[in-house]
Amino acid sequence: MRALAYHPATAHHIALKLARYFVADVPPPALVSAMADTFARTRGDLSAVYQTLLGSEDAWNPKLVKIRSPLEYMVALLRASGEHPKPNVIVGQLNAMGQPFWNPSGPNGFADTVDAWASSEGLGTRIDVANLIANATPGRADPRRFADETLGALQSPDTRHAISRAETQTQAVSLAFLSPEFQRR
Amino acid sequence: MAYKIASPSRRALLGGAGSLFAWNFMPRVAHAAGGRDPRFVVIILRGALDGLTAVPPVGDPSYRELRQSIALATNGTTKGPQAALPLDSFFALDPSMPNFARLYHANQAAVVHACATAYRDRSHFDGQDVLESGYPGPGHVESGWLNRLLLTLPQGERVAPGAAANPIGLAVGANAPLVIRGKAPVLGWAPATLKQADGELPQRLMDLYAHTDPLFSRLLTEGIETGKIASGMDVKARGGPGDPVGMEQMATGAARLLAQPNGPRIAALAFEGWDTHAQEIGRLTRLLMGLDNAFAAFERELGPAWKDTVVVAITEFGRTARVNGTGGTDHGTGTTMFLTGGAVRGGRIVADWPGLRQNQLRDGRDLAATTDMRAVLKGVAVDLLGASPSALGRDVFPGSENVAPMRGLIA
Repeated sequence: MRALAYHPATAHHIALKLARYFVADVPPPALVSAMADTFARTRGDLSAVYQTLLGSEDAWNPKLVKIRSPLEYMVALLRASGEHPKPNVIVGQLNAMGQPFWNPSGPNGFADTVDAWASSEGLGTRIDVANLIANATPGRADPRRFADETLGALQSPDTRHAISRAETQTQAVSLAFLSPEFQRR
Repeated sequence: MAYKIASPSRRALLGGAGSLFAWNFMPRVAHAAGGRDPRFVVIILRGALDGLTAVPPVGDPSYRELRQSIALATNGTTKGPQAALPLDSFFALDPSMPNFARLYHANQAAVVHACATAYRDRSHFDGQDVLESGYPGPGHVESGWLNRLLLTLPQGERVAPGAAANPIGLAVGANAPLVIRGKAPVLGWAPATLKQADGELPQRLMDLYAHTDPLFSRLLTEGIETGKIASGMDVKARGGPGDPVGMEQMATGAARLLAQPNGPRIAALAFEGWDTHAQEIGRLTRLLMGLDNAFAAFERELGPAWKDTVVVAITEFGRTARVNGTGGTDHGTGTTMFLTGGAVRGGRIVADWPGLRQNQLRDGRDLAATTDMRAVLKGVAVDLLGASPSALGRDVFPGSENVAPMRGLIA
């Protein structure tokens, strides 16, 4: 096992997985190398690897590159709306979106790239889920203010425009939930 | 989820803080002249209904030129696909509303044209806030004018604390519309099969993604083309508030509750989808059919109570007089209100017609508004429900002291 842990390929593999999860589906090779070097040099100290990650410019790229997985998306929806559906409802929605809760289909765990979540069915389900949550979102908060508070500086002018022209408050909240800024991180 | 879809048994939903036990008096609806047991229904049409297509002023010389491809006409001999139903010598009715036409000619339906609230901007949210809250401006979202109307109606018999009390108000749909939210207790009900889907959402997403996200744009296009994502007019009857089937279901259920001897008497519903920036004729054909079927459902299910009933359909503002480049219209000002019911003094179009010449249009683009919707709503409240004009001007429609109730609307 020690031989495996110290093998350069292991360092590279771990670095790649971390960079891919946090930064981009195809992370900058320089970043992966730097993280792999740190892993090898410190003989597997993950905190040091994280330091390397956080210390790089790429980690702070404000461009929203990754798509939120269904679980991340669901969590974001629930936090933003303040809704508390029953657990079996949440699990059902996650199943529909293709990420059964804590239940990947194989030992590799859940996929981590756009391809896995970026299907038209997946988007269709997200539209339904977002609409459902939007319908339940309490109160009559002005959707423009809701979007400002939820998306903050990330909100694009196009999203703001679409929200302000929505036909009903529910539709406006749905648009906020389905905007690229909300679906990506 | 947090909302509940109730089965058609009555389950009271309190509109504000406090319990039923705090109520010693239940508001009762005043019995107007003739021993009437009145019903009042308000249908909110979300999205700004185009009054110029719903009730086209075919007698106005500027109408055809403004509306071009989407102009309606009453052909004397041949009835084409867009042949409007004649109402009087100047106005006609969209061909999708044969029930309303029948009621109109039986003097049980009326139209108010070129009307608006006090709101003069073009935001749906703000316009709906003004329409439903009853305030002169947006931002008042604590309660709606219909709920405050419930509070001003003459107090009725004392109810023993702890006794089951039957609310007078009824809110129909998954969420109570603002117009009937507030301190007065209100029953909540929705059809068991009411769908939440918004048929217009995918198109709006298309517009958003087209400018901002090529990946989602591609996925959405693919989804719509393959039918995995239902959009717009391709949406089969999904039974929502933006769909004819859903509208009729909501009306049927509401009418059955209103018909019961100890049931509610004042109801609010909301229909959506009226924001016809494109393909207006196709979309309004469906939507107005839904509204028309809803009117017919009220007539049918209320039975003997129909003669004491007024149903009004109101919208936040109208649309541009001129058709745009996508066969639709954009946000405007003056629009129509529909009134129907056995208690309506019908067979009339109430309008101080401002005209459609360029210098008669508001901002050179909109049908102007010459009647305040609040005057009409106050008129119904006074003559049907016995509401006090001063309470209406102070509490129900704050700031409207100088808007006189329109009399003579009630038979």
